[in-house]
Amino acid sequence: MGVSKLFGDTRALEHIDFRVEDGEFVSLLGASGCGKSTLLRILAGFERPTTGTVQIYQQDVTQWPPEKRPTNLVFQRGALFPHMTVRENIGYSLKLRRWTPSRIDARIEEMLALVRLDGLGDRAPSQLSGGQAQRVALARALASEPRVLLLDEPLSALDLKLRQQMQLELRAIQKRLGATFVFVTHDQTEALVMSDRIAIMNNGRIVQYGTPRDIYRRPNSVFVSDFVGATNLLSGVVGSIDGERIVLQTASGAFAAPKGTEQLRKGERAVLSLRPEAVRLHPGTGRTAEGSSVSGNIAEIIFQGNCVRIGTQILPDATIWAELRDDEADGLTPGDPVTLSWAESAAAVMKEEPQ
Amino acid sequence: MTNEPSTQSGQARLTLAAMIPASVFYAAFFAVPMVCLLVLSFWTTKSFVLIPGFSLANYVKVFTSPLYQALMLRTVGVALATTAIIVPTAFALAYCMRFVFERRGQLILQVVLLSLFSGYLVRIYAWRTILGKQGLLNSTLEWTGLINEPLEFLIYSNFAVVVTLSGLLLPLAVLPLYSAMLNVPRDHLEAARDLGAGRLHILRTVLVPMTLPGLRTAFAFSFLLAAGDFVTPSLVGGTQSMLIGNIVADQFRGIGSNWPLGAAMAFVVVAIMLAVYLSTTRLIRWVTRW
Ligand SMILES: Nc1ncnc2c1ncn2[C@@H]1O[C@H](COP(=O)(O)OP(=O)(O)O)[C@@H](O)[C@H]1O
Ligand SMILES: [Mg+2]
Repeated sequence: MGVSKLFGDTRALEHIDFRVEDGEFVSLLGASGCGKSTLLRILAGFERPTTGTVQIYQQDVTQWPPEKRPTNLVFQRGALFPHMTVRENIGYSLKLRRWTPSRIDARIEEMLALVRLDGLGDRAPSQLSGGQAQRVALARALASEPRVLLLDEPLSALDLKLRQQMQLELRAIQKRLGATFVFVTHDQTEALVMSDRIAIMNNGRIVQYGTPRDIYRRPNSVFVSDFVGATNLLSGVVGSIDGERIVLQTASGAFAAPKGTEQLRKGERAVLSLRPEAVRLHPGTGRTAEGSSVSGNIAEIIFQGNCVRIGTQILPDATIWAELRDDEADGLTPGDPVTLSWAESAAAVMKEEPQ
Repeated sequence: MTNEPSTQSGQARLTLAAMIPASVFYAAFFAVPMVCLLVLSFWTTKSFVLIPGFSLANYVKVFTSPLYQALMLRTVGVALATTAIIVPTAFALAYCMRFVFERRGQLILQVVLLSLFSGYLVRIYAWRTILGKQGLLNSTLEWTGLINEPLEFLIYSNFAVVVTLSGLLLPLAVLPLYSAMLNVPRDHLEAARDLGAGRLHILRTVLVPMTLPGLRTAFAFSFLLAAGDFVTPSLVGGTQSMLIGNIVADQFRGIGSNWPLGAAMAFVVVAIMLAVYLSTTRLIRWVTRW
């Protein structure tokens, strides 16, 4: 399909080509301004793509206006109608579809129960908390049983605790209804927690599309590995490639990693990405049994509550971060010589991106 | 926790204290003159001399005189016609300023404000040069050959009064409506559309209810100010275009003046206008019910 979108000279989306399966929870994840909302609004019908087509269930809806599409949108700040009660908000689309009053009432009760707001039907939107308002917005959008629900950062205005709770609820509701959700967020944890698949966006393109596990473990670019979760990056030159194994020559030694999906040639510049939680830390400078290792001195220790992050300087301009349980870090102080090790399979090699 | 009630009553006291200056101002410049006028409306005159007392004679006269009844009716009609032109026009203009022109809407706002500062009489005379027998409109129409003779009804008629009042009061209605539109997020209009509402439906069930305070103010400005105007009818109106304001004004100046009668008339006018205003706003709410 290859959807693209231009606003004047600004290219907001470039050759987007992706497909969502029926009943899937897909997140569009990317930094602010990368085109997530624009893509969602193209799906909803508020923007027309400059080129390309949009299909929903094999039907070309590119020229359909939003009011005709089988999609509903949940807005970032809810956009509840302030002059209507919760009940009237939820029933809005049903009344437009000329349902009978008794059927509307039954559906509203069903929706209120679904979002766990039984008994609040007669409140005005101004009498709701932020979390409750977003639940009503969700109920309003789901009431007419859209084939696809589109959500534009609906949780971003909530505080962390509530957000985490709502993430799980939203996911549970989606599973219960078996509905297709396309969810926009800039929060990588949120995307990892909720999604069946994640589309990582950068500068109007989808740079990787896959399951949360795939994306976390096998990022296909420096951008993705850096954006999703914290990572250590070591750049070097591809030394040798044999079978499923690739060896990268870096300033601090040669490290092996599984060959990724990316086509790399010998002698090409590449980057090794290593998750902090995959790095083990041993006091002293001896060799270790594990696949790859490197020595250095502890430069920084950051206590984070459930874990401790330790930065080890392996070269004057290179630090590798390791994530340890709190008790594992007992007795370590900055300046200590340590050896870092990791399993070969925990590392990923990818093309270096021109910055 | 325990001192919360006292804090609250402390705040209430503070709010009351803050209202004192406004209340004094309001009493001095609005309430006192109104009360004086009310008392005056129960007095009588004899040979142009005021006689204090309590008589309903003035009110009886206002309600029984066919002349005054006709004037009242015409005034309500002219004011409603003016409002029917102004409010939809101002609503559409404010909508465009907010949702079509967006940033550039501010520019139109400057123009609207500028027109307000250009003076009441100047603008009435401007309309006279447009609507007059040899005015802009007539000469243009004659020049294009659409008409052979000047259209008589363009000036010195009820038509001229309504058009001129509309032109005069339009900016006053645009201001509250634009400010009400600014409080309507685009999201809400899009949400309605997304849920399946067509344009008219969005207008009726979302845009009008969400701009209701602005609509009420715009309606009040145009209706009440049009109903109270007496300068416009005397400058562009014909012999059959006098409004109740002209008669009220006559009771307060020159020969044949009768202050108590004028005061009674003024109160009746205010009461009728308020009744029309309230029933119309009810009507709007009923039409937009969901
Ligand atoms: N209506 C518009 N007119 C012009 N540029 C726009 C418009 N909407 C979005 N853009 C631009 O398109 C890009 C993507 O915006 P958006 O989709 O809102 O990003 P995101 O939701 O990922 O933060 C941004 O550079 C933004 O400035
Ligand atoms: Mg956005």
